[in-house]
Amino acid sequence: MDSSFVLRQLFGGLTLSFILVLVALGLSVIFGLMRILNMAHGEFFILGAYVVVWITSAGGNFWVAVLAAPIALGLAGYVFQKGLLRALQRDPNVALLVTWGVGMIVRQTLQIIMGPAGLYVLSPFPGSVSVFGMQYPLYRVVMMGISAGIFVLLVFLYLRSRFGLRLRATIHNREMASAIGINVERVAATSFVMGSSLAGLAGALVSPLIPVAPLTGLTYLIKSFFIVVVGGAGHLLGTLAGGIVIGGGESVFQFFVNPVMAEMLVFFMALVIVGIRPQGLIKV
Amino acid sequence: MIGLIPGLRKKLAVQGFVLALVVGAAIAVLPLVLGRFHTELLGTYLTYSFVALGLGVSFGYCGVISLGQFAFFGVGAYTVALLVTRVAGFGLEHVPLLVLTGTILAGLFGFLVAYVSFFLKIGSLFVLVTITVGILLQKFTIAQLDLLGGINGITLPRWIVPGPGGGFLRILIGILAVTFLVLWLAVRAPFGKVMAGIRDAEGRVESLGYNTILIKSFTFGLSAAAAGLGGALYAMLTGFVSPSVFGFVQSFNAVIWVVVGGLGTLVGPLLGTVLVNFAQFYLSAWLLNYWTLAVGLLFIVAVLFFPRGLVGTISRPETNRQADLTGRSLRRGQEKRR
Amino acid sequence: MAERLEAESRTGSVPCAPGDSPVLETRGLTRRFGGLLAVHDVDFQVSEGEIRGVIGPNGAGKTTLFNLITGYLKPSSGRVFFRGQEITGGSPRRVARRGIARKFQITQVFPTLSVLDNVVLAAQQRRHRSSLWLFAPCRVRGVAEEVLSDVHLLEKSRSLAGSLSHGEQQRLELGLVLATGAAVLLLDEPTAGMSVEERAGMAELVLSLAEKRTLVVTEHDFDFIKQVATTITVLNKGEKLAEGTADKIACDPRVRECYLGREDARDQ
Repeated sequence: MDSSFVLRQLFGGLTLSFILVLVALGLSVIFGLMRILNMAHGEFFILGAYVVVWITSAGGNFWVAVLAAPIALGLAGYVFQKGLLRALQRDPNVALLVTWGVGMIVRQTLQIIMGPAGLYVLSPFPGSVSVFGMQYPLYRVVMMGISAGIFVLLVFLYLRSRFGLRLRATIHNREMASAIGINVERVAATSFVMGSSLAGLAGALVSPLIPVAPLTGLTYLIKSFFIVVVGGAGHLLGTLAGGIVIGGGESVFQFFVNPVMAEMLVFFMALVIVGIRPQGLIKV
Repeated sequence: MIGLIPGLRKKLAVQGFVLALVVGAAIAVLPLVLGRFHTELLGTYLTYSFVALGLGVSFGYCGVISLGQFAFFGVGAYTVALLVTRVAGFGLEHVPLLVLTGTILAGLFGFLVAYVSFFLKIGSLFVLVTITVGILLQKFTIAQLDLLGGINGITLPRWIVPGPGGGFLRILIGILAVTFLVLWLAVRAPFGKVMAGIRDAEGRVESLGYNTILIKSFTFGLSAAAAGLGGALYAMLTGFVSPSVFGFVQSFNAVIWVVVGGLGTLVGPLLGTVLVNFAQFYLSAWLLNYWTLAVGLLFIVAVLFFPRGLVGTISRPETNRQADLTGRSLRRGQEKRR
Repeated sequence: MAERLEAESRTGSVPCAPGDSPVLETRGLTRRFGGLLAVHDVDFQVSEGEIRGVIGPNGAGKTTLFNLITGYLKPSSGRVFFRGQEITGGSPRRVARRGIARKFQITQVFPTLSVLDNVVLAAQQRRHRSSLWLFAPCRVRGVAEEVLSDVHLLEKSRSLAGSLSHGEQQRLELGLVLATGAAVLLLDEPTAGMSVEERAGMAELVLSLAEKRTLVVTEHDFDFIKQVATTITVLNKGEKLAEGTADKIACDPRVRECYLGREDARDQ
C-alpha cells in the first residue's frame, strides 16, 4: 500500500467526515435540546442536494444553488417544526414515528418525481490541485475549506453570540433557562431551522461528489445519529469528536477489512464507547 | 391494554370465543376456497404476521420500539435454509427441529442485542440499534457470497405438506394460533403487567425492585423469536431466501402494520399485516408508486388520530382521544394537574 | 457507645435506647455536587417501628438524603446500613428488594393500568426471587385489595390510575409502597399539592400504617409532621441541625432561626 493511496483514502474519508459533521450538528442540537429523534433529518440533507440538481439542470449557477438550498430547507424546517412540536407534546415515540413517516413520504415522492437512480451534478471546479505532493480534486479541497469555515463560524456563534448563550443554557438546564426568562420554544424552533438549513447546505455542497438518490438520506441519517450519540449531544465540539471517531474509524478500518466489516466494527466501537461514556465523549 | 382495562373482561371472553371460531373456520375452509396462488400469498403474509405479533408485544405492551424486526425474520429464514442445504443430516423431514432452531437462534440473538443495549444504558436510542442491526445483517449477507449465498440467495426444497391443496396453510394458521396463544398468556400473566408498567414508567417499576433490563430484553427476545419463527416458516414455504429477507424496508412496514392494525392489542398486528399487504398487492398495480405514498400518509394519520388502530377504533373509539400511542397523554394529564 | 454520646451532645439528638440497633442508619453520609455539599456528614438512626419526620427548608438535603439511602445517588463518603447490613451504594432495585420502599414526591403511578393492577404490580414483586416466576399465576389479589382498602381506594379499584385526582394518586402511590411489603417506608412529601382536608386524611392514614412498619417522612408542613412523627430530625444546608420531639424542635432557637424563623423575620 503506497503512501499516496493511503493519503487519498484519508482525504476521501476526511471530506465526507466534514460533511457528516455538518449534518450531525443539526441533529445534535435538536436531540440535546428536545430529546427528539428527527427521523426525517436525512431528507433535509438530500433535498439540499436535489435543490442543486434542479437549479443546475435548469441552467442555473452551482453557487446560487448552494445558497438557495439552506434557505429553502430552513423554511421547510420551520414549517416542519411547527407541525412536529404538536406531535412532540404527546410522546417522543409519536414524534419519532411521525418524523419517520414524513421521511418515508419525502423519499417516496422523490422516487416518483426524480426516479430511484442516482443523479449527478457537475463539479464546479473540475480538475485537480496538488496537495502534499499529490493530485487531489480541486472541488474536494474547496469544499473542505468551506465546511471548515462554516464550522468555525458556528463555533463562534455557539460560544460568543447571545443566541449561542441562550442555546447553551437551554441545553444545559431547560427548566432553569425558562425560569430566567429564556423563551425555550423560540430557541428550540430557531435551532431546528438552523439545523435543517445546515443539513440542506451540507447536501448542496456534497452534491458533486455523490450520486444524488432518494434513499441516500437514510445512510447519512444513521451515521449522523451515531456521531451524535458517540460524540455527545448538544455540544458542537462533541459532534466534531464524534465525526472524527466515526468517520475516521470507518476509513481506518477499511484499510484492514472489507467495507461491510468496517461498518460493523464501527458499530461495535460505537457501542463500546457509549458503554464507557453514556453521555458521549464530550459532556455538555 | 385490552384486558388491563376494567370492564372489558366479559367483552374479551366473547371476542376470544369469536376469534377461536374464526380461526377454526379459517383452518378448515380457506385452503379449499382460495386458489393455489392466493393460498401461497396468504401464507407469505401470515409468516410476516409473526413479525408483527412480536412487534405488537414488544412495542404495544412494553413500549420498546424496533425498526428492524425483519432482521430476526431473516435469521430464522437463513438458519433453516443453511441447515437444510449446507448441513448434512438435516432434511425437510426434520421440520419441527428446523423451525425450533430458527426460532431459538433468532430469539437469543434478539435477547442479546437488547440486553447489551439496555445494559449500556442506550434507552431511547435503541431504535437506532435495531435499524443498524437490520442493515448490517443485510449487508453482511450480501457480502458473503460463498458462505451465505450473497445476493443470489439460497434455494432450498419447499416443504410439501400432504393432504388436499393448501395443507401448508392449515399448519401455518395452526402455528400462528399457538403463537398467539402463547403471547396472549404471557401478556395476561403477571409478566404482562410488568411490561405495561415499564411502558408507563420504567423508573418506577425498577424502584419497586424489578430487573427492568432483564424483562425488557426478554420481551424483545420473545418478539425476535416470533419473527424468527415467521422467517423459518417463510423459508420452507417459498423455498428461497435472499438478503432482501432482512428487508429493512419491510421492518419499517412492520411498524405500519402494527400501528394501523392496533397497537396494544394482539389481534391488531395480525389484522394489520394481512390487510395492508393484501391492499398493497391489489392496489399497487393500480396506484403504482403512489401506493407507498398513500401508506405513508395513512400511517401518519393513524399515529396522530387513530393511535388505537383498526381494532381499537372498532372496539373502543373513545380511547383514540384519551390515550395516544403509548398511553402517555394520560400521564401528561397527571402531570398537568400538579 | 462513647461516639454516640458525643454525637448526642453535638446535635442534641434523641438516642435509641442502648442495646437497640436501628433498622435504618447512616454514618457520616456526605454527597458533593462539585463545590456544593448537598448532604454533609449526616448521622441518622431510625429505630424499628418509629415514625421519623425529617424537615428542613428547601435545599436542606432531604430528598438527597432519600436518594442516597435508596441508591439513586452514590455517596461521596459515608455509609448506609439497613438492619445492621451495609447497603451503601446499592442500586435502587437492590435496596428495594432488601425492604426499603420509597414513595416519591412526584407521583409516578401507572396511568394505563387500573388502580388494582397498579397495586398488584407492586405486590407481585415480593413473591418472586427471580423474574422467571412472573409467568406463574400470582395470588396477590387479596393482598392488593387489602392495601387498597387501607388507603381508601377500594371503590376505585377498577378505574384507570390516570383518571384519578391528584390526592387519590398520592394515596395510590402510598398503596404501591405498602404493597411491596417493605419494612421501612420512605415517604417523600406525601402531602404535596394536597388540600387541608386531604392532609388531615393523610395524617390519619400515615399513623394507621405505622403499626407494623417503620416510616420516615419528609415534609414542609410542620403541622403535619407534628401530628404523625414521634421524633423529628431537622436538616439545614445538608447538615443535621437538631433532632428531638416536636415540642423540643419547635422551641429550639437554631431551628426557629433557619426554618420557622423566617416567618418571624417577615412579621417584623
